[in-house]
Amino acid sequence: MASAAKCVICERDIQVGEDVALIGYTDYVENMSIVCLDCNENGDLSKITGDNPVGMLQTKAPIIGNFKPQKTDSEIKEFRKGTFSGKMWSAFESEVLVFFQQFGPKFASMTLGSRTYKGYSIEFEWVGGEVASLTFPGRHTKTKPTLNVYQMHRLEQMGFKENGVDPADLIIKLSPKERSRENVVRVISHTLEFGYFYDPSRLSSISPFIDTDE
Amino acid sequence: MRYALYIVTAFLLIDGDIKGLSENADVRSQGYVEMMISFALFIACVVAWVNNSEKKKSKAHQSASKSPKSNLAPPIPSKQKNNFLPVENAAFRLREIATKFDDSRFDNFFSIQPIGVTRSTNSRSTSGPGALNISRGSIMVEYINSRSQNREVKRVEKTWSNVLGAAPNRFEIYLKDATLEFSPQTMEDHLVLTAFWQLFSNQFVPLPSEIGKPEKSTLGSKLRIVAQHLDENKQTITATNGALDVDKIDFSNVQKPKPKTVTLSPPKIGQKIQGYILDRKLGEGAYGVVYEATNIKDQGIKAAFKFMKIPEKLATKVKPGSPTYHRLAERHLAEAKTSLNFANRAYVVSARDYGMEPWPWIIYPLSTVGSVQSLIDSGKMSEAVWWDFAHDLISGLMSIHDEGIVHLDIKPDNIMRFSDRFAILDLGLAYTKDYQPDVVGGTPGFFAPEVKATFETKGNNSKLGFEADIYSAGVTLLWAALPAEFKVLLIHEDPQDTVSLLDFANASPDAKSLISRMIDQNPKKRGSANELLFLVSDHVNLEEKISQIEFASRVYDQDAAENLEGGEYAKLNETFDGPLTSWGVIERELKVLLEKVRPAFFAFNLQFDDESRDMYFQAIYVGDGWVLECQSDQFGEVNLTPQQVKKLLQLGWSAPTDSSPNYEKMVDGSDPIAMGVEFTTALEQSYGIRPAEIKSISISAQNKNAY
Repeated sequence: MASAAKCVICERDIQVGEDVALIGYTDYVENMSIVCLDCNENGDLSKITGDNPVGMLQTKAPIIGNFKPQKTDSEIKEFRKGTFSGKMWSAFESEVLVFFQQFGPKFASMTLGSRTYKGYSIEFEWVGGEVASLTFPGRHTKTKPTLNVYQMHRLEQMGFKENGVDPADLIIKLSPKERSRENVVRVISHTLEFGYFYDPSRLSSISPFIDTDE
Repeated sequence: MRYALYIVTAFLLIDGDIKGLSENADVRSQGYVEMMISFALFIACVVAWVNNSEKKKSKAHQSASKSPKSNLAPPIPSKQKNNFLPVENAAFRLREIATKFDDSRFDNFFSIQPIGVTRSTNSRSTSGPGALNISRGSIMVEYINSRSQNREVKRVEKTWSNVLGAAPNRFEIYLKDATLEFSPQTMEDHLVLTAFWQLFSNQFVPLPSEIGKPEKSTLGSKLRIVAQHLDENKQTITATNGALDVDKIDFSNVQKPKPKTVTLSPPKIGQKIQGYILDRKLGEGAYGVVYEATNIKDQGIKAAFKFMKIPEKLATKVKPGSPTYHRLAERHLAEAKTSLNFANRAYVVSARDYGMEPWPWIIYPLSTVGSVQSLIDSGKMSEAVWWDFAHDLISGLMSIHDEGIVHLDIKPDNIMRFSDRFAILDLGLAYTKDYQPDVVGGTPGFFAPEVKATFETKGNNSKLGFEADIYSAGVTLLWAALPAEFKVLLIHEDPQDTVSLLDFANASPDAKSLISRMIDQNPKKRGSANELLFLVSDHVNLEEKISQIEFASRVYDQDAAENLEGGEYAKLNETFDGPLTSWGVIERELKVLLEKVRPAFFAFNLQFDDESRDMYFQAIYVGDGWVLECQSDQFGEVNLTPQQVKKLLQLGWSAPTDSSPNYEKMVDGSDPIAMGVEFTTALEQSYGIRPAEIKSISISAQNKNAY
């Protein structure tokens, strides 16, 4: 039987009809690597993905700067360990990172959907190819769901400053050392997870806004 | 005689066709009709001849039997000779009838059409082609009098109580004014009717009421044994042209069902329930009685059982098990169901479990640190504790209001005190905002002026909003701050005067300001729970409160993950012993499982009398429905015959594939009973399993509350 491809790890011929694993970003199927099932189970996937297998962002707190994380690395790991929401948050981080890497400054904002978060959005200020500040929804009494005392407390503790009255936005300016894309992603997820206590089951209703004029 | 009768019958049948055809002469020519007459006469002659020959062949066998062999079906067409399809189909139908008979939800057992019907009175006899329908409540016959000119359909329907008797050796029933006799037209129909008839005439006519009580009858089990007999003797039965004598079948294994009786009775101290023993009564309200209970296996585990209480004015009128009783029970359990919205909330108490027997009950966690009242009595309600109390109460209300629910019975007795926090309980009067509540209640002194006005005017309560709860919470906070001698006044005070009691409260200006706002006569000025929490936040350790909120949410989340991954917490393993008397047991268990446990996966493992044999069926929830699976040959020794496989496929099951190695069927799952019937029908009609064979069933389920 003719071989259809080679396993990118062991380079064994893969026959037509044989089950294989595809490794890589699912958004870019054409760039995914074909791996035989043995290597998928036991092989060294870092050959394909480097130190960051399958594009998952390592679970860490954002670095301390203008943004003040409210949980440590170990606390976050403990929170995410063995929970549904933990898996959702990790997947969310990876997806947002893909958008930053793929679209750069064209990735202008994200809207938070669903009834609970209707009208909420997160906007990015890009300076020299880096995210210099982030704007999150603040207190609203008329146009959008209002924030509760716990959210306001946590967001203030994180270093967000209120801009405006009603509606108000919450802004955080990032210092240069905080502007790596991985850290920005962690700031976003940390803010949503421990600041807004965002319902992780709603993460799928977050949509990116890509500014094609940029 | 029979020879002649068949010719006449055939002719009369065709005569009816001629009339119909002639009326439609524009599409059917006269020549066609004549051809049909000739053909029909030919067939009738052949049928009669074959029947006569078969009759002779089976004469010896018939004479040995006293069953309705004289009503033997007309001979089967020659193309069916030497195959057993009619017998197999008859066995299939008998199992189907057994399923229906054993389940009181089915009314109609079977119909046979066409069938020859003869109705005889003292003065005349009419006969013709017709239909017979046997149901739980009645027997219904329709036929056309072949000699009648107008060809109208005659209909006779009699309840079983109006049937005087049935002939044991003919398909004949006796009514007050006539007898009805039936002649099945095929061997398959003959076998179905003769099996049912012989059992029926022996068992039911003296006690027709039993037909409506399958739980007291063995007819279903006997029908299955007859079906088994047909399967095992199909060659002989086919060769003897459908001769069947049920008296020669061994029914010794059939057991009278043991009716399961459930005694519905109010609880008593010392009674065991759900692995707990009731220790003492903790309290009693208008609609419920609460007991403290100790876990039988682990004495260290305590719980509070809240039982339904029938309101005094109805106590003598409502009988346990009656529709009114069930309505009250549903209302009682609605509290538990509502509380499940708050399983991951820190400041609302959620039920752990609930059920109906022996008396509608709900299990709540039990606090061992005493009530709010005991805290005050001990003098430990300091200013700081009061603010914690205020925070937890208002935060709990925010959780409830976020779900669109109005509690409507906030008061000190409905706040549970734990070692590190307070939490709201008793959602018995709660209702969804903007919907008319079933019952409006509350506690005088604690309900808001607009609630009181509603009582007085008996007006529409759907206008009551979250503000009513804020008022009650304000009065509760006032109560906690008042010296004992003033607390009693709250109950008697008019809401207008409640504000005046603020002057006597041992509270800081900020606390009094908070209470004052919450008990404002104008609902719009009271503020929402969220707004009020901003006033409270400066007086409590907010970070500690957030930790409690996060912890409650996380525990719930971890449970959910464990459930999905099959953690012990979520697994349900239950075994009950057979032999089963009907499939209804499985269907009921499945219904309870789907409605109460709501798993994403379940499996029923059946153990048989023959210990070397077992099988399973299972299902997995896939979001938009359920994939049902019945064990295939690839797992264990199911050993289905080609006919059994064929029947399974006829019932709509998909054959196993490499990726789906069991027989599968997709259903929407909206009707748990229908889902159970899918399984039991397959078990009975394809796998050939009889309920009585099942020694025990173990049920396992995973991922509780999955949908």
